[in-house]
Amino acid sequence: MKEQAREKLSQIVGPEHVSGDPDKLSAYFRGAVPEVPLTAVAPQDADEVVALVQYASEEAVPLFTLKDAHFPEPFPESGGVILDFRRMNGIDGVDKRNLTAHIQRGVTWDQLGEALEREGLKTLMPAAATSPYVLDNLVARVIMRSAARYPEVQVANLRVVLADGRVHRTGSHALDEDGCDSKDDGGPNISRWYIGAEDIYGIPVRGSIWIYPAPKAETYLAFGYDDLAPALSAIRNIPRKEICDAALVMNSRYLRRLAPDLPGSVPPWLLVLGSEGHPRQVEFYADVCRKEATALGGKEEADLGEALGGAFRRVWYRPEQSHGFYTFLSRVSEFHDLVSSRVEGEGLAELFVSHGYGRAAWCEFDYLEPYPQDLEGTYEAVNELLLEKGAYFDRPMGKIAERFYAGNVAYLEQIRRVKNMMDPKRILNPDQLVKGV
Amino acid sequence: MAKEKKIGDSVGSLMEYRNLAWKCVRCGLCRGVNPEKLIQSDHWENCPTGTKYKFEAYFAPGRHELLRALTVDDPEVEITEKLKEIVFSCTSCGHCQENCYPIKGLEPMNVGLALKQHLIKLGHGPLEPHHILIQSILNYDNPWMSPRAARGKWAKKLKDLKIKDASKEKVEVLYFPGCNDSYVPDLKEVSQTTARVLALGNVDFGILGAKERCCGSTAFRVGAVEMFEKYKKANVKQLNGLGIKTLVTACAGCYSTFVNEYTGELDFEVLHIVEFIARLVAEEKLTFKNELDLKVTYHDPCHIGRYGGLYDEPREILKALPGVDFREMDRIREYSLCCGSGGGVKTGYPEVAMDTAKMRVREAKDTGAETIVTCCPFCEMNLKDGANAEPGAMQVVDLMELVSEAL
Amino acid sequence: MVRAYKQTFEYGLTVDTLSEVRDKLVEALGAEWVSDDPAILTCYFRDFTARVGKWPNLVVLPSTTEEVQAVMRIAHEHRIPVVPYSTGFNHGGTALPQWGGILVDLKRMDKVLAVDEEGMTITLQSYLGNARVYTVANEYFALEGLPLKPAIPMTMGSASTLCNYVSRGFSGIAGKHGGHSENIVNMTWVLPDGEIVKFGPGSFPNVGDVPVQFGPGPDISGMFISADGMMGICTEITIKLFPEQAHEKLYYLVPNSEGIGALTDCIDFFYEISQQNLMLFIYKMCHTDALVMLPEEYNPADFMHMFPEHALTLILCGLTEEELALKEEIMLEMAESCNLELANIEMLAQMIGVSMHKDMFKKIYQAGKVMKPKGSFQWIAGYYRLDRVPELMEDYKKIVMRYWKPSDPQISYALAMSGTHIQGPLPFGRATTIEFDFWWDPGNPEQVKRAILTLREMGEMMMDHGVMFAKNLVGTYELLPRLGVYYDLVCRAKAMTDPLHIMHPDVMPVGDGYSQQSE
Repeated sequence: MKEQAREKLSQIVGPEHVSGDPDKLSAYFRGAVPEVPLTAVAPQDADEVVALVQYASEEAVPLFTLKDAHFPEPFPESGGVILDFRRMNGIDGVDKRNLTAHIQRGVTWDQLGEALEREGLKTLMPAAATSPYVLDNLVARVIMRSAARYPEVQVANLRVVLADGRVHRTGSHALDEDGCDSKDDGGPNISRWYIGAEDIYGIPVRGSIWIYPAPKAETYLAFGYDDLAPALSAIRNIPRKEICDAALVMNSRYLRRLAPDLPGSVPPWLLVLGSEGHPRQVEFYADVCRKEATALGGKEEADLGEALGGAFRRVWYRPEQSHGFYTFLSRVSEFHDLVSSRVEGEGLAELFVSHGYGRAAWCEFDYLEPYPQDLEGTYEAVNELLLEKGAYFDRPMGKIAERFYAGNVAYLEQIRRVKNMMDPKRILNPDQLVKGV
Repeated sequence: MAKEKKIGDSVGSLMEYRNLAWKCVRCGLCRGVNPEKLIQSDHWENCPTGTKYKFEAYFAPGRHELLRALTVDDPEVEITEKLKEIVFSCTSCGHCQENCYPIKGLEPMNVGLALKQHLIKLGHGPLEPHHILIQSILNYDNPWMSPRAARGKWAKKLKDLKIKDASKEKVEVLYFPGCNDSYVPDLKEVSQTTARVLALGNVDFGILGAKERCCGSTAFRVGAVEMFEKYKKANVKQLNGLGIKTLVTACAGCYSTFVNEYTGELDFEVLHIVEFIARLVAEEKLTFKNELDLKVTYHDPCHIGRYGGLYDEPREILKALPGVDFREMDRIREYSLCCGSGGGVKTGYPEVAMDTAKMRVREAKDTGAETIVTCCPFCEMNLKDGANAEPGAMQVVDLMELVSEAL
Repeated sequence: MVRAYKQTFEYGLTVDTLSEVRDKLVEALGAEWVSDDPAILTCYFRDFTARVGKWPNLVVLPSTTEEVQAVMRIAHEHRIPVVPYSTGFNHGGTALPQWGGILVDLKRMDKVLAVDEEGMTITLQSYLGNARVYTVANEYFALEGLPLKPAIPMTMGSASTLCNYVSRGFSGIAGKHGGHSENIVNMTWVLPDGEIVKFGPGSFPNVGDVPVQFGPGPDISGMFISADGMMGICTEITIKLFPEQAHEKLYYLVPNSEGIGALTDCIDFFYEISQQNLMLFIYKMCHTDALVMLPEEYNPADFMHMFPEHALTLILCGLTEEELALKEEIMLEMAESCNLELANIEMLAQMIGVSMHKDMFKKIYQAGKVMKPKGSFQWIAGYYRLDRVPELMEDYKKIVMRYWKPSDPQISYALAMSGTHIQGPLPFGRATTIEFDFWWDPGNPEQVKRAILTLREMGEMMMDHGVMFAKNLVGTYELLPRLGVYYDLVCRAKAMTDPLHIMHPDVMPVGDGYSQQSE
């Protein structure tokens, strides 16, 4: 990077928080650092982000924000400035009564979890987190383990730095950030643009997110199945009765990865039903869940349930080499067959999370070691098949993104139009959502 | 029940309804069956003219807007052919008011009637086809341009009953067939059966025969209220002069007109034959011998239904008829769908009448019934036309025809 | 610094253009579905709100998305304003043309296009009413013996479901299932230039109506929600359905305390019960709600003292009686801890002459009575924190007392205003919809003026408190420019989507030429 530019960036964030060192940059890339002009900066607050954006706008320098563990490949040849939010790790406030936490971009799951636990509170826990930062995941609509009951968007308000340096406070925060934390805007809901947008319309620097009271009682029941079909029936039918918050199925590979120290053998498929709330209600629902799950052929694995308790208090991360998509529960078997038939070896770690009272499922297929011989090729080939068969990628990334969006050209055109309106100079994460946008 | 919702109430001048125009909130309850009574989404529509034309003007809210536009100091609309169509294509079935009045206190049907009367008063009506009907009533005492002398001919086959001439002999009950049941060939069985039933019930009854005059319903419904009032006056004089205690009719239109439009002016009670028969059946004075083997459904006519509150009686009779498998449609009783022919619409806007009839026939078919039973000559005629235009056979009969077969 | 983006525009509507446009519309839709007769036009410029519109120049009735597209293309070509209109029961007056043009009456688009038991969704066209949607949904099942139902708003069964959803309405069961905007799966929109855009998973090949909210990628569809016709016309929507549990029971809870204490007790209960998986529906009523329901022969003033100022209507449900009984037990404990007690609902029902059956909340017929007292009913509502509602209520009362003096023998405070309603709340009580209602006679110019002044002042007061309006209503849209950067972005979005400014111009103040409606 030119010295003048470095100087300018240093004036904004401080020289110790500007780096073009490949060793430091390597943290942002899964593979080798791309051979393009790159500098990483670590702002400490929203004002610095504003200044950075203004600089980028004046100099037509692209800014890149990391939403996952690493940037997707390939990285744009233009290069640019990477914004690292690790210093913006302030929890600005916790509203216990109205169950909202106001956090900066760099707050992590662990950090927030500890702070909330002290107050007798918690967040929902992700089933497929892609980064340790809470806001990144929530803005990306990462699936929560208790998606059977709770909606996928857990963000109420955002403070977003726009491409022209202005700050948009979304929802009711347009009036008062210290007032109500209601997500809807005063007119058209344009705030929804930022959710799932990979920061192409603006850079969220702070979010008001939903938190929950630590339950008075909770239970996790585990049931083993030899076959997938009845387990899937369970996570379709049981949530429809509104007696559980979490309903998921995992295969033994996934289970072992989640809890490597599990003793003894594990069933091929494990159903987990989670319920929390008033003790009497939890007990009642637990009984009903047991009856339902065993009626479908499941064998209760009480020890496993207990052993998994710890795992259920942690964030579950989704590896970068994985397929993640939504489909109807009635089609999950079809996709399982499709994927497993294409992947040689021991197969993938599989997780299916019931969504929306058993309306649909989040399907996740994770590649674990030992990887297939041609991991890249297999991965792309399976993605193509999934696309062809109608898997719903709510966050299509990489090569699949172009193909997926091509299925609805008019929709992609709307995305482009908004991009042109919000960021005519294309300085915010160009090509990160999909090439050309 | 009708009176609770002002259905059948006397209709004032348009200006008297003026302030109601502002109170229509477009809630749309008038445009379909009462949501709490809705059984099937496909059987939601309730307004014949609104269903046909769809523009807001044809529904009750539109009529409120026209009311407002015509009654402001400087009327905002001229009387165009379109406006006339909007006004005169209303069947005055009362379904809109049935829904609206309890909730909003508005009288959309009465507003519609007032609009008709208003247009005629201004010289923009009656419509030409209605004008012919009215002239016929004035000239022949019936809308069919048929000779007065032929009016009583339906009774010729009933010499065995020795029916009294009410104009010459005092009787307790006057049987009043009305114009349709007197003149329309297909409907004569209705009048004949009614007479037989009265005889079976040992009722002291008579008829007026050729001296009977039209009740004036047609004139009233098309908005020719001035003419109707004159006609009514003559009828009241004649009927009150008979010294009867009861007038019985099998015509829903006559029934409704006598009950609602002649209110307070008649010295006797008015009954529909279904009330009579239901009473006789309950008292076991009437028994049915013949098995009918029919799958039937019942269409509630507006004029004995919403206007008269007679919902149970026809059903009790049907259930008493041997071999009748009775199935209800979805839009029944207060929420019955108009057949589409009322208010002069059959003559003035035959396509509205036909489309509505076809819709009703389709609903009837959905029950699995093979026969639609009703108690109104207008309904019977129009539903028959609709049944003939729809694929698949569907009979349409008056209840009295089934009673006749079962006796 | 807020830079409000404004655009200028002109319309190409003349008498000659009109004739040519009419002919094109006739060719596209058929003569019977196009009209410029004054008797037709006059029925679309007014509704029950305080807002007044202009006559449209033409009214058309398309029956498919493609016909709507044809209309838009013609309008776009000739630069003619277009206004979408469904039932006309619009509480913000936002179905009234402000510039004439072509009014698109959507009454012919009343079909259910699909119901999917697997995803528990229903796809409908624009005009279908809530009661019809409910009736159709009930024919399908989440599981055997567990029928489906939509989340319908507490309004008429005849009101359009699609329109309520896209104008960001909320249902009585929002506390359990979220607001309408969260229950939309797919949408089809016709844009001002005639382009058709489909949003949601179902708009991608082979996916089906997988009911995942938003996306893929950024949720662009958000800008069409609560846009009140200024971004295009929505012709189809897929919404979520919910299992309808067999055992439901309605409760009426009243506080033991009075005054502000009663309100805070109710609010405490709202918080308590929202944070458990207990209730289906909860609503804070006012004494004047009950009075609205009184039969004609009763003088409301004589009965005021019998009804509490604050009371809660609550519905619990369960798959089995046992489950319902358990929930009731827990609920009653909560109620007691919040100083509330159960009222005798049958006695209440007899007194107010209306069935308080839970089914009342399904298809909504009786709710219309709220308009009976004076003929019209206006409301203003927004999202707010439950714990700050009492302070809001005090300021609301001050405004009411200014315009509706208790000493006025004709119009008393008690009878003019129906008080503070708390609906929802949103899940876990994080926010609630707070609604203020009042009645007025739309045929009385003095009351109309008073109503408008009251609404405007209430709108400003609510905004000063930080209340974000739930929907665009009289008294609210004029305040949009106060929303700073957001407002500017909306103006830009409007200019981006509708550069000719033909889509319902001036329904909201987002372009040059916007004029305040005179009183």
